[in-house]
Amino acid sequence: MFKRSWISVIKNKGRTIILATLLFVIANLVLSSISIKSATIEAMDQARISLGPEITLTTNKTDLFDYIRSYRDEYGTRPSSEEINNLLTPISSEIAYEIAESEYVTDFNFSFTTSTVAVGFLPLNDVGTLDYTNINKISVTGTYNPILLDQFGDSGAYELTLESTSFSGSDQGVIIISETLAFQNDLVIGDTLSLVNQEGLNETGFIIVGLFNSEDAFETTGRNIIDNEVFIPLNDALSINGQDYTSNFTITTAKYYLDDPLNIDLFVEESTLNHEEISSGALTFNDVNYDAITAPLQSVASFSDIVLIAVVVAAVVILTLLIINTLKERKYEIGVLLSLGEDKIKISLQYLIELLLIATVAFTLAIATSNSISGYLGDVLIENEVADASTETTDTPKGGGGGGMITLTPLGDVEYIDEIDVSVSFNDFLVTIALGSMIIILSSAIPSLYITRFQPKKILSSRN
Amino acid sequence: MENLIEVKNLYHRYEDGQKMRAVLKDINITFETGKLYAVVGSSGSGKTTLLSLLSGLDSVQDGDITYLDESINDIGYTKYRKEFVNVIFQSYNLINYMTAIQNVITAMDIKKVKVPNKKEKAYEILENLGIDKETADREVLKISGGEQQRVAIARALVHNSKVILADEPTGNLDDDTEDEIIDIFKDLALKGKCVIIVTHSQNVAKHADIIYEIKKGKIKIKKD
Ligand SMILES: Nc1ncnc2c1ncn2[C@@H]1O[C@H](COP(=O)(O)OP(=O)(O)OP(=O)(O)O)[C@@H](O)[C@H]1O
Ligand SMILES: [Mg+2]
Repeated sequence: MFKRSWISVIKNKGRTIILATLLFVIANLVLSSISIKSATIEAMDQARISLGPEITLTTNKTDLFDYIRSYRDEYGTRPSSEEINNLLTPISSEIAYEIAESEYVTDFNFSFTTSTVAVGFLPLNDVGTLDYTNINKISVTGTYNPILLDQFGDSGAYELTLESTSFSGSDQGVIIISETLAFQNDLVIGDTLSLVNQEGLNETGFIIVGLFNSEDAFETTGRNIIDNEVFIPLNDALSINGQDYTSNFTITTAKYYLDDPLNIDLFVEESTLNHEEISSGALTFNDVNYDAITAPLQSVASFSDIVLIAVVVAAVVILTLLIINTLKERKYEIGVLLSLGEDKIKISLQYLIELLLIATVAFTLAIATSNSISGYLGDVLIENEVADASTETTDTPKGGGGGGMITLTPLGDVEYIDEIDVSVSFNDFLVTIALGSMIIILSSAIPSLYITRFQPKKILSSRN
Repeated sequence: MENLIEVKNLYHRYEDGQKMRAVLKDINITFETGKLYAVVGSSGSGKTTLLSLLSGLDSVQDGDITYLDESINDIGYTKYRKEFVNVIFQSYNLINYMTAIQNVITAMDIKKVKVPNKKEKAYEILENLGIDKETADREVLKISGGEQQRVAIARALVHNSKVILADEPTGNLDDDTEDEIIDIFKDLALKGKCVIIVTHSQNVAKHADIIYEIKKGKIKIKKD
């Protein structure tokens, strides 16, 4: 059988060359789409790693934005803040702690943001001076650890001054305020100030332990919003708000630190599966930075998936037709083999081996060429996608003036990943061989059925 | 001499438009080892039909064909073709892209011939039929019709099955070559094979030990 396959491949040069060319093209396309796909996955992993191992759980506000927009279109005003509050699902401490128990979580930080009223000092206006007209509104963020908040992190815009100290989860009655707010109110580190909730209740006193400046952030966010933001321990914030921090309470965000940035997807999947609030979309993990910078990659990845499927399907169809056509040419030969007593299965097998022989050569040649082809295709694809994505983000909604209630992390200028390193790896090659064998076996299936219907008598005596 | 192939109450019908037309009707004949048979009859009388049934290329519809008392149906058509019979056609039926020797070796492979050196054995068989090594190494399209038919006969001799069936084996050959091929067949019959030749040629028929004639679907012994 091998011998016969070999003779046939060598002697029928025309047929061999046509099949080899076709298989060579298929191999290149398959190898390219597989290697582009794995390069994008690799780049997405790199993006994950560069963004760090943390992810934040927040209340989902996307639906709310849509609601506010349609409300405004209909009534010309915003819905009441009460109505807005009712539409938002807060994060309950129960869920937040449960999620923290995941095997991937190494550390976590909660924060709770609420509006309060200043007692004995004044907030600032948007030029950075005392605001006498305001109703003394101060936005409070309570947290276990301010350093772990997005604002103070490596990529955050807020910076503590040198003489500042931070606080931890067990501290009480301490506060970090903006340098400008302190300056305008003649306050320094060690001074005290007080806050009450919006109903004027739960007055709490604080010692200033730290000051922050945020020059960089003024460009994107109104200066009064930043200057009138203060940071206090979570328990204090909950108390002012009237919540009992010793039992169940609600928070605004829960930030989780994982053992490995590459586990973020698994972690999100696991949490979504276990919590109805997340799967229903009421709560959501804020992955905007990752989604934004990897947007072009995601498109390239799904595009290469589609190409791969299309190539495999087209290859099977074309090969099947081509093989059936050669069978018509080889009818006589099949008749001869059958008259000698050959099994039909062995004839099918012979043709399969012929294809595999040719495919081996075509695929080997494809290793040489596919690297440059897939590299080129990868570059073209990613450039296209980056260009597309850049025009799309111009209309992404940014933080709206919801009195500190509704703020989206401003995306600013997204730095897209605009390069992927496409090279055909050994693994890609193994996958291609597996897929290639599958293509060949599939496209031999129908022709084999065709052979079983051959009638040797008709074929042979018709030549007489 | 033994009864090798027996044909019992054999009918064969072909679809002819809507109805079935019987080409062979109630055929009963026997073929023995060591004899040369000729099957004659006018064109369209059913000679090729009978031969394809005897060679297991077409399946028995009605009646029975037995080989050493076992029905072909029970033996299995592929096994029957592989182990017990050899067919030779007017158009030689060799695989065109192979050399003569490769054609013979292919038959050896299919028929699972067990010899120490297949190639040597194949050259030897061809040599005995008058095909030298140089011709044997040529592609079959590059050798003469008579030589091609000898290669086809060689293919039938790779194993010691007893039956050789031939349909107009000399139909494409000139008279001299025809005589040479007939001599080969006669010689094979003498050596104990059962040789059955379908032919139009009087020249071929006259060498036969037994001549059967098909007429209107029935078969008669013409010479015994
Ligand atoms: N596959 C078929 N389908 C229908 N009719 C057929 C088929 N094969 C043969 N026949 C018919 O059966 C009859 C016998 O055919 P067969 O080929 O056996 O004749 P033959 O004796 O070999 O003729 P020739 O001497 O011309 O070769 C013819 O009338 C032929 O047309
Ligand atoms: Mg005929």
